[in-house]
Amino acid sequence: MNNQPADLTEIENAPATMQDHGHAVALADQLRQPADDVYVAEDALDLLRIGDTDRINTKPMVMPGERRDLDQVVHAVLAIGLSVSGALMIIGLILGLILHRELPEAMPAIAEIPGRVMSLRPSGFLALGLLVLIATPILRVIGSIVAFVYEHDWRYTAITSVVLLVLLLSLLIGKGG
Amino acid sequence: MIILIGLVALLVGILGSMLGIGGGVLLIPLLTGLFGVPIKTAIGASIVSVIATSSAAGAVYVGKGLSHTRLAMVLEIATTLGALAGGITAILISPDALTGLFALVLLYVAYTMSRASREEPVAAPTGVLDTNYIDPLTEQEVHYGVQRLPVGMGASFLAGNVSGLLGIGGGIIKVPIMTMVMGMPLRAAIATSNLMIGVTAATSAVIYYQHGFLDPAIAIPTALGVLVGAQVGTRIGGKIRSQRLKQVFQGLLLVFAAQMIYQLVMK
Repeated sequence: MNNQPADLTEIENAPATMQDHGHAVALADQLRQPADDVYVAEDALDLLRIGDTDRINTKPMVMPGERRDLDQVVHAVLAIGLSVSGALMIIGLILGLILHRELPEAMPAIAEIPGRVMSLRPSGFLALGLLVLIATPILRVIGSIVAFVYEHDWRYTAITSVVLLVLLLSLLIGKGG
Repeated sequence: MIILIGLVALLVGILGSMLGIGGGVLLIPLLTGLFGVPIKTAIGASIVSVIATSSAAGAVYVGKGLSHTRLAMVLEIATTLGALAGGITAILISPDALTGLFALVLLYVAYTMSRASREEPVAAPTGVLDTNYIDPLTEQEVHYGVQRLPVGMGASFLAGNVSGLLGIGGGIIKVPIMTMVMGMPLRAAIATSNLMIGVTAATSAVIYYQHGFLDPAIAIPTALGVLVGAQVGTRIGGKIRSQRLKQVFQGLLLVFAAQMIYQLVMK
């Protein structure tokens, strides 16, 4: 990450190089981003909220370009999804190899997974970890759509929605194929 | 067996990340050849590990601002459609046909690696999806635009198709087109391709899952092994582009291709 000191004057100077209000808002949001905190998805979404200006106080991060909100959402979703699925799979493997010596032969049906997790069966954790891993890029697409909607970027909202549509299509017709 | 698969995947992850090549091209022949995994199950395991590495690399590249996220969204329409078609095809066609196709792709990858990777002239801002990033080595700001987007869409569909069909990432098809035809800087092309691979692989993973080709006992050690291996590889040798290492990798690809073709002929 590139940390440059910046302050409110950057917002005032910004519109000269930016084309519309949306971009000025984007920069304002960057200034609210704590530079070196690990943030969670909720915070990432919070950063996109328009009109909330009372938190411009931390050492901000200013990156070139006009797509940082979007990148922060994408980064947060990928990092969290990967950590959660990795943790679930490692718990499942430890439970399976050390405690039970039972490992699943096939993926359990999705409906069975919550029950298996609750009863601490390794197959439940492994299956859930695998599903979270597969879901991570899909959640990234959904997160990007939300980011585009907040930015009022309707063209990219539409483009990204088409990607989501194809993903849903593969869920539907994958079964029949 | 789980521990062995994990170790093999770890080695593949280290080697792959040191050479900047996804592990799928090595994983699938190793899983089928060493562990007797059926090819469709091996492809399922590989596609899961591709999602894992793409999410990890994607997070890093996006965090550094190297990925052209908007361009990725546009091209993903093509890669996911390609992966959808590829995934369904993979379910339908015979394992032998898949093995044959895979051998061809191995030969193609070995050939691509032997060409000198040259840095093409980067397109100045073109008015189409112009963007910029800060090069981590020179700390210079690089501005560029995108040319010939329709060609990029076509290549992305093909890359998605091969990815869905054979369980590899598809960067080997996209990155050359993005640099040589679309005028993107190599660094940005790799970062953007990596980001797209996760969504592409998720499309076909969903199909493999529904048809029972995701075996957790194989897919999970593979994914974890490659993921850890990639971290190790990046630390110990991200900057080393050893010629010897490349030759070893190419040799392995040729051996695997020969072994797969031999398998088919001897049947």
